[in-house]
Amino acid sequence: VFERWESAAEIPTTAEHLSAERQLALLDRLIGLEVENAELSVTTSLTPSEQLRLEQQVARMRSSLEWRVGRVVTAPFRAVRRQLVR
Amino acid sequence: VTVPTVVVHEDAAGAIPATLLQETTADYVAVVREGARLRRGALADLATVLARFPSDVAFGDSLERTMRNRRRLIERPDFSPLRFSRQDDLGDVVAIRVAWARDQEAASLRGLVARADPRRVLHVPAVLGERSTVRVAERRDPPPPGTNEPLVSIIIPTRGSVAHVGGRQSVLVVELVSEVLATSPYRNMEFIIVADDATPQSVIDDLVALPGEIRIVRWSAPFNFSAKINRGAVHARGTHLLLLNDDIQPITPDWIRIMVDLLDEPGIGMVGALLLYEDGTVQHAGHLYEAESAGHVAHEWSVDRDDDLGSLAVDHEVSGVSAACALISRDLFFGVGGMTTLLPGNYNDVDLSLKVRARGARVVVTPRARLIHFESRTRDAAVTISELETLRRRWRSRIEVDDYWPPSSGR
Repeated sequence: VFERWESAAEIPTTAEHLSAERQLALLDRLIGLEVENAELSVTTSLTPSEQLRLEQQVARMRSSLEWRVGRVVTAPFRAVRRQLVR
Repeated sequence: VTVPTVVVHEDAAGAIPATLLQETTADYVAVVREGARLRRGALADLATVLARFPSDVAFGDSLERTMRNRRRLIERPDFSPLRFSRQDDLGDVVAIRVAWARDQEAASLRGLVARADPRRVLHVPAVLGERSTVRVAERRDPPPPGTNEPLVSIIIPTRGSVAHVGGRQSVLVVELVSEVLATSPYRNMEFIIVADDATPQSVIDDLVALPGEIRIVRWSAPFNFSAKINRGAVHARGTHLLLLNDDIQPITPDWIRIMVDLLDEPGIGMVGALLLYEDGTVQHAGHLYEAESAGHVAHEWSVDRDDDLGSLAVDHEVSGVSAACALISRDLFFGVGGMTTLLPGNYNDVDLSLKVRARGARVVVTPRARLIHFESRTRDAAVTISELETLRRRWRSRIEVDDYWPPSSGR
């Protein structure tokens, strides 16, 4: 549906506006690539607080009942794998 | 690992013994706050962390004993300079680096921390102190309203939807603009209405008939919330951009003033508000990023409920804020490439918040600015896998654990 509004309040989007929108999108993609790249070297880009919090998260996961049950269940398979690797 | 630390008790006035910092040979002073005690093993935990990450100030979590004699873990968020200016929430044990503290002209712990570079203040995720009573950190009043009144461009994407609100049928965008014009004491504002082609002529006529500075911009492409906001931004003339959904109704009359004052504080890049559902429960009190996804802090909580730190009653840093109502400077918005059009429906505000924070600016929310958000009335918030993947590709490690809303604050 296209409404042909009859209003002086409507301001046209000019080529200049569209160019500004393209510049925004271009800068967004550039920043996106930078942060994706930073994700690949995440250990160096995390602040100390963020690093400590992630370590705490891992420690919590490893002390959880689910993790410990999982370790027990998979213990025979891990033992077999160790033997095969040797 | 050893980091020589001496323990000192803060007095009732919050002062540290004056000669201590000058005379001690220790690297750090662990200040135990009034009414608290150091937990066994706390110094070793502090030493381990400070040896890895030398900091000027370090603080940690606490254990408190409740009225029913139960132990309660109080985890703390990352250091929040804005919050600290309103509420001393650093907890029971705070370590100060002596060499740094000697150069500061402050006799109290609060004075010292206020002078610290936020990047040199470390939260240690370990219980450092305990106390036998529950302590709610007292709050200080925010500064009085400012007089600076920059031009605020309020960008509202709309398609002229009608909804049943407050017992009657209303055109959301018309209702919103009239309400803001009628109730807001803030006068220096313009409205940029980014309207879909399908918006009825009657809605345009009603908007134009309102007394404020209202400009209509057409949107003819398929729905893309981010692109519509960007379209509004390139037409805006204000130094401040207020991103606003059309399904919003202000509760606090001076909400724009409050948000503008906060944005003008140093280091703050984006400001959000407390959004409530129509039934009065919390829709948004800041974003919550965890387990590689994003949600809302205190979602569906009663507005009277709070966490043990009293977080919802004080202006504070958050991981991100909803673009349903967010204030950002024009310069910063353009400096981070606006809203990403790769996320047309969901998570675009998460991405914007993280881009702002990646620039070193902080994102804050204020409970003093309250609005109703009739979210479910106008939008299907179903998230597509591709949106989540796009978000994760950029920010996976940043949305694993929330920096400002710890697990003990509740979900």
